[in-house]
Order: sequence, then C-alpha cells, then structure tokens
Amino acid sequence: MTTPPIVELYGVTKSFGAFTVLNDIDLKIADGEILTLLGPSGCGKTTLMRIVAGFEQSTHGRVLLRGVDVSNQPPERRPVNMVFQRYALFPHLDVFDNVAFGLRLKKKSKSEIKKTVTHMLELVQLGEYANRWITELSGGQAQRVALARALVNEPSVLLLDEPLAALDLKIRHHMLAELKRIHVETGTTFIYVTHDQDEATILSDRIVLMNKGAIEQIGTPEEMYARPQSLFCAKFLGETNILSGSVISAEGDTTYVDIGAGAAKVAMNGVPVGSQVSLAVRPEAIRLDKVREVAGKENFNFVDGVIQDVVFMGSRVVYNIRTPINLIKYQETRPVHGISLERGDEVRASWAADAAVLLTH
Amino acid sequence: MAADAVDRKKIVGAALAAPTFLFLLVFFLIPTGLLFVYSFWLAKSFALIPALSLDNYTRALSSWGFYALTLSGLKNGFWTAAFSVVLSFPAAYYIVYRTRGNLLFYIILVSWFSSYLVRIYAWRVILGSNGLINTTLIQLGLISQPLEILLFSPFATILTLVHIMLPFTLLLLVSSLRDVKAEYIEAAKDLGASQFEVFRKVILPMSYKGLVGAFMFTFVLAAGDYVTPQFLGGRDGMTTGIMISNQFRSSGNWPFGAAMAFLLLATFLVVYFLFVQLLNLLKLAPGRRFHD
Amino acid sequence: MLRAYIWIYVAFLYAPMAIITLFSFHSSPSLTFPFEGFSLRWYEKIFSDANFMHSLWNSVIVGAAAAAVTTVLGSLAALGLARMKGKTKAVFGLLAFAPVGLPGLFLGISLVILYAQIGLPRSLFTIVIAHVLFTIPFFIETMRSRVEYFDLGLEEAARDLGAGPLRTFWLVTLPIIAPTIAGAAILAFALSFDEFIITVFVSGNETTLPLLIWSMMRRAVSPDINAASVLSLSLSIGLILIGGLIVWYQRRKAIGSRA
Repeated sequence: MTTPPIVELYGVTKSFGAFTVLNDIDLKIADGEILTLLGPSGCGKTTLMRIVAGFEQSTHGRVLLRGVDVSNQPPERRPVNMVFQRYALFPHLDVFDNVAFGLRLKKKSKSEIKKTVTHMLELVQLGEYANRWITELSGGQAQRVALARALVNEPSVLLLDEPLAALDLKIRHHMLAELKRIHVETGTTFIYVTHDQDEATILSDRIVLMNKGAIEQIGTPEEMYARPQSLFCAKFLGETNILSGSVISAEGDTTYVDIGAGAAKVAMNGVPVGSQVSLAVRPEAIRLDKVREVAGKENFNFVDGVIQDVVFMGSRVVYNIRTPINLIKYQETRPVHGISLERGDEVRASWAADAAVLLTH
Repeated sequence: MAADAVDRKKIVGAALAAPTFLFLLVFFLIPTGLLFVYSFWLAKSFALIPALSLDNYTRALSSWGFYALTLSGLKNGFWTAAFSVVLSFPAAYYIVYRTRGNLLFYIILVSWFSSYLVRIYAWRVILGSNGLINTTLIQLGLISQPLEILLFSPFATILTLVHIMLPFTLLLLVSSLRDVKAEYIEAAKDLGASQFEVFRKVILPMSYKGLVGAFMFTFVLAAGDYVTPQFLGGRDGMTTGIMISNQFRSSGNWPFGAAMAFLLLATFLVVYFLFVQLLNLLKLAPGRRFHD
Repeated sequence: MLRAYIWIYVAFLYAPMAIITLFSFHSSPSLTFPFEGFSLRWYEKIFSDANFMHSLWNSVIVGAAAAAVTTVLGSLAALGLARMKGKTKAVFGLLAFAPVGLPGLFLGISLVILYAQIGLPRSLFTIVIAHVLFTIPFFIETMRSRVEYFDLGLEEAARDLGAGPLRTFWLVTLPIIAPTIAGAAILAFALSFDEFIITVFVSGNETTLPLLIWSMMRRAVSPDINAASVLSLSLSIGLILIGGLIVWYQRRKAIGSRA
C-alpha cells in the first residue's frame, strides 16, 4: 500500500475478567478502502469496532487514527463516526436536526450548516425529507439519515455496525448498492461489521474474517473464496464440500490424499505424509456424470453416489449427492434445455486437481 | 488504562442514585429502625424511658382485645383484596385484550387521584341514615326505618375500601396481564382450549405472580388503613391500625404503638406466607409438574 | 357483556364523586333527593372562609415543594437504576418502592419518632419530607418504564457526533425523557395534594386541605364539605388531565412542526 494506513491497531486485546473477547489484534486499514469485519456472532467484530469508535477501552494495545494514538480519547474527540445497528436517530429531532447535530456541536455557522446538511441529504437521496419526523421514516430512509448524520462530519473513518440487519432483503440489496455509490462519491474509509457473507463479498475491498476473538484470514473477497486458509474460512464464505482424509504421499507440486473413497490429487505441496487434512471443493467446481457412462475412466479425484435431491434455485440448480463418505453438493447454472439428471441417478462427482484446496486446520 | 466502560456505567449509576438513597436512608430506613428500637422502650406518665423490654409486646399479645382488633383489620383487608381482585380482573382483561388505546385505562386511573378523604366522605353521605340510599328507599316506600346496617358497619368499611383500592388493583393486574401476550392466548385457542381453559391453563399461571402481588398489596394497604374504619366502621369497626394511630396522637404511648405496628407487620408476613402455601396446597400455583 | 361490565365498573368508581359534585351545587343544605335547585352558596361560603383559603394555599405550597424535590431526586434515581445491574439494581429498586408497599400509617409514625428524636419541630417542611417519601416510589416507577426502554445507543450516537457526557445529557437524554418527567412531576403534586394518612402525624399546627376537610367531616355532615371536596377533587383531577394534555400537545407540536 502506498498511502499510509488511516487506522492502525497494535496488539488490541479485550477481556472481561477471565473471558477474552479480543486476542492480540493487529490490523492496518488503508485510506479510502471498504474493509469488512466478518464473522459469526460473538467473534469480537462489534467489540473491535467499538474500540475504534471509543465506546470500549481495550485492555491492552493501541489504536492509531491517521498516525495519532487515540487509545485514551473518548468517542466525542475521535475523528470517526458511526452508523448504528438500530440507527439511534434522535426521536426528539427532525431529519434536518439529526443530520445537523454534529455540525452544531462544532459551532458551524447557520448558513454553512444549512448548505452542508442539504447537500448531504441530497447525497443520500432524502432532499425532500429534511422536515420529516424520525418516526415517519421507513427503515431504509432511517438508514439513509443515519448515514448522512455520520458522513456530514467528514469523518476519517465511517464505522457501520451491521447497518442493514434490520432491513428486509430487497431493501438490503438496494442499500448495498447505495453504500457503494456513496463510498465512491465521498471517498471515505468504511469499516463495515456484518455476519452476512453476501454483504461482505458484495461490498468489500478487503474482508477481515474473525473467529473467537482472533483474525482468521484477511484478503480480497476473491482470495478468500478461492484460497481459504482454514476450514473455518472455507465453510464461512460460500458453500463448500469438505472431504477429510490423510496425506499418503507427495510428489513435487502434487500431494495425494486418502479421502476414504479412493485417492485425491491436489496441486499443493509442503504437507508432511500422514497429516490429517481436509479438502475443500466448491460445488461449482464439481463435474457430475452418470456412473455407467464414465466407469473406469478415472483414477483420482472422484466419488460415486446417488442423487438424493435436486434443488431448483432460480438461476442455478443444486444437487445433493449421497456418497459413502459425505454429502456432496454440486451446482450448475440452470441448463437451458431442462435438467437431465434426476433424483436416484447413480452419479460420479469429480473435480480437477487444482480445484481443491488443501486445508491443514 | 481508564476504567472499564461497564464499571464506569455502574459508578455513574450509583452516583445518580446516591441522593435518593441518602434520602431514603435518613427518612425511611433510620426511622423504621427507630420505630423498632422504640418498641422496646417504656412509657411512664408521658416520659419515654429507653429500655430493652418486651413489655409492650407481651401487653399487646396478652390482651384478647388486640387479637380481636387485628382480626377485624385483617378481615377488612381480606375482603377488600378479594373483591378488588375479582372485580378488577375482568376490567383488566378487557383493557389488555379488547381495547387498542389506553383511554379507558386512563379514565379509571384518574379516579384514583380523586381524593381519598373525599371518597370516604362521599360514601358516608350515600350510606348514612339520612343518606341518599336510605332516604330514597323511604321515599319509595320500600322501607319505613332507615337501614342502620348501611353505615358504621364492616360493610361500609369494606365497600369504601374496595372503592378506594379498585383502580390500584386494576393497575397492578393490567401490568401483569400485559406480560401474557395475546399470541399465547391465540396459540392456546388454536390448540383447542376453551375460554375457561385458556384462563385456567395459560393466563392464570403466567400472571400468577402479578395476581398474588395485586392481592397482597391491596390486602396490606387495606388492612393497614385506619381512616376508613375509624370513620365508617362504627363501634365494631375498631382495628389495630386505629389503635396504633391513636397511640401516636395526643397523650399516646409511643412504644406500645410501635410494638403493635411491628406485630401487625409480622401478621402481614404470616398471612402472605399462609396465602402462598394455601395456593400451593390447592394446586393453584404454577410450578414443576411430574409427567408420569 | 364485558363491555357493559366495564362501564358499570367505571360508573361505580365515579358515582360517589358525581353525587358529591351534584350536591355541592344544591341550593338547600339537604343531601337528599328531590333536588331543589342550583346555587353557588356553598362555594361562596368556603371561599370566604380564611381557614379554607389558608389550607388550600398550604397544600399548593407543599405539593409544589414535594413535587420539585421528588422530580430532582426521582429523575436522577431512575436514570441511575437504568445503569445498575444485578443485585444492586434489585436492592435499590426494592428500597425505592418499599415506602408505598407499607401502609401509610407506618411511614407516619416512623417519621413522628424521627422528628421527635432529632428535635425537628413539625411544620410545612416536615410535611414536605413525608410527602417526598410517599411520592418518590410513584415517580420512579413512572419514570422507570420510560428510562428502561431508553435506547442507550442514542447517548452513544451523541458522543460519537462530538458531544461530551454533560452535553449528551442536556441535548439528547433530557429532551427525550422531559415529557415523562413532566407527567411524573404532576403525578407527584397530585399525590401530595391529596395525602392525608401520613400528613396527620407530621403536620403539627399546620393545616393542609385534606386535614381541613377531615376536621370538617368530623364535626358534622355539612354541605360546605361538598364544595371543599369538589374543589379538591377538581384540582387534582384537573392537574392530571393537564399533565396528559401536555404530553399529547408535545406530540402534536412535534408532528405539526414538519410543515
């Protein structure tokens, strides 16, 4: 990264008594990126964000904003603003006054406030709603006001705490697009907390996957999906087939794994013989054939089974295949001329050696 | 490192509550303690003698009069609580499940703020021998002599206490019924429960604590009321409450009054305990069941 | 059927007051039907009675003072309760409610002993203390439901936007809970205005309106009691209604100002 990081976390640890919520987190966030803290509930992502905002104090570690240590500053003195999960819009103020709240505290002039707030409301497409009462807004509108209220202060970093959790699916997708647009228009750094992998992959420049108070993996959405570094990551992002087994031999860049239904070849090296490992194969990387058409053709990377059910999901079709070792999922885009395979068919699921990811933990 | 946010919150909470705590300490806890200490003192010809004597307690407990007065106070409390709960329950039910707004609820609560004394006075006007009921009945020729039983009787006391306590009981019942969400009732009906079974198997067990609470609150406040029986109860209406209050008026024996107050308090606790035990015994209380 | 019942229930609650009100306008001293005609003579009588006016004034002073003290103490306590947890919260909550869980008699006689013990002469001041003790639990209970549901996220949002703790309280917390505080304060005034059971013990030579009505009641059944009662009734009920209207009007104003 060429620009200096806007947020730096060093050794951030948070514990309540004997219970550790965050364990030694190091993280650098680049100016202008959208970074998602992704993870299951209780993984510490919200606590980490609240430490950046200043609502919680870390037990150990330092928080730097634009190179300045703010670890001991209260939230009102930090140049970050937050969009709260349930918006936290002030019910005694109207839309305009909610958005103007931060500017008034900074003693901006009346005309400047009027100008800035109006501009910001237009940015979030609520220009007509300045005099609306908070209780008269829909969920999506309230979300936009919360966004405007935070952005109007021109924060170094905008923190978003599961901002779409309370919205229904359609509005959620629309708001994601809106967030991207607003990000492009303002160029503000976003830190986005969510437990929803779809939101994370759609929105993020980088994803920080968290689990049990620690960072599991950091990367772009594509990296995370294509090259998960752990079983947890492989399972959390998207659907995947996990085949467990042990390494039987390694030759050059190829490792051979006994998966209980024959051997699998993986384009990977460095794993000692005898290790317990898992293979992760995405459903769309599977190839499905009728057993009688391909019998005897292959030596590696396949497992035979019976189609248990066929799930139609609009643009794609998912097949669940019962095999001796595991339930295998196979996915294809919906064939134009209908589905040729059906429930009860004996099939062979196979995959290319470079389609599987070898995971040691 | 600064104090933890949680700790800080607790400290702020304690600091905000401190003035009220201090007030309650000085004007509630300490006086109650003093009252207890006084109950062991002695009063000799208008002078108080600090002592550690059980005389006041033995004096009260060895007189049949004390038991009779206590019993009459408890009776007032019991009947008032019973009528208030039974009469207010349907009203509370209606308010919680059949109305949308709170207008009716407010109308009833507002009546609670109509002066306590005025209500006592009003019933005296209505029930007296020259009162509204008697004169109306005489004018209609239904009776020839005023019904003396109406005023200066336990009937008058209880009627008035019920009138005074009704809105309060209703308030408690409404807040406990609000916990029994309409969905539970709908679910029970969906599963085939009749109106009565819904009441017996869903509403009653779920609002049980609130119901017992409403009954006991009404009971204690009515049994401890000394103004209504004094004014409307007549000769037989004497209660421990009146006795206690008299001791603290002119020329009273404060330590004796204090001892009786604590005996009355103890009685309330015993009644509460017995009441809960009775409900358990009658299997009216919800609790663990053994499914065998 | 339930509908009919509830209206009988309401009628039962209000009938005695209605009868007293009716007879307070009766032109004859008789408290029986047939009604002989309307007159304001009983009101004229009590308004020209210096005792009545003095007691009324005392009640207003005591009510206002008790409501003011209760509002300050009770608001702080309710906000404190919302920040407490576990045992502390349970114990303080119980303590704050205890004064009304006991018959007023107990509070009255305990305070009598306290005042005697510390040598505090009984006056309007001692009445105010007694009334605060009696009104604080109601005040806190009224505030509590509002404060418990208060979204602490709103305070965090204000902090996030640059307000310090005090400004957060002043700009966000207080304006949001203000209508509830106003309503609870009026409630406290109305409770104090009507308080009799405890007041009897702590009043000394001072008279409040309920004490005056009590002494009138003990003398004889006389029609001017009706007038005094109705005035007392309408003052407290009127106040409660005004309190309700304030809350309602605030909401109206809020909606109206969007224009």
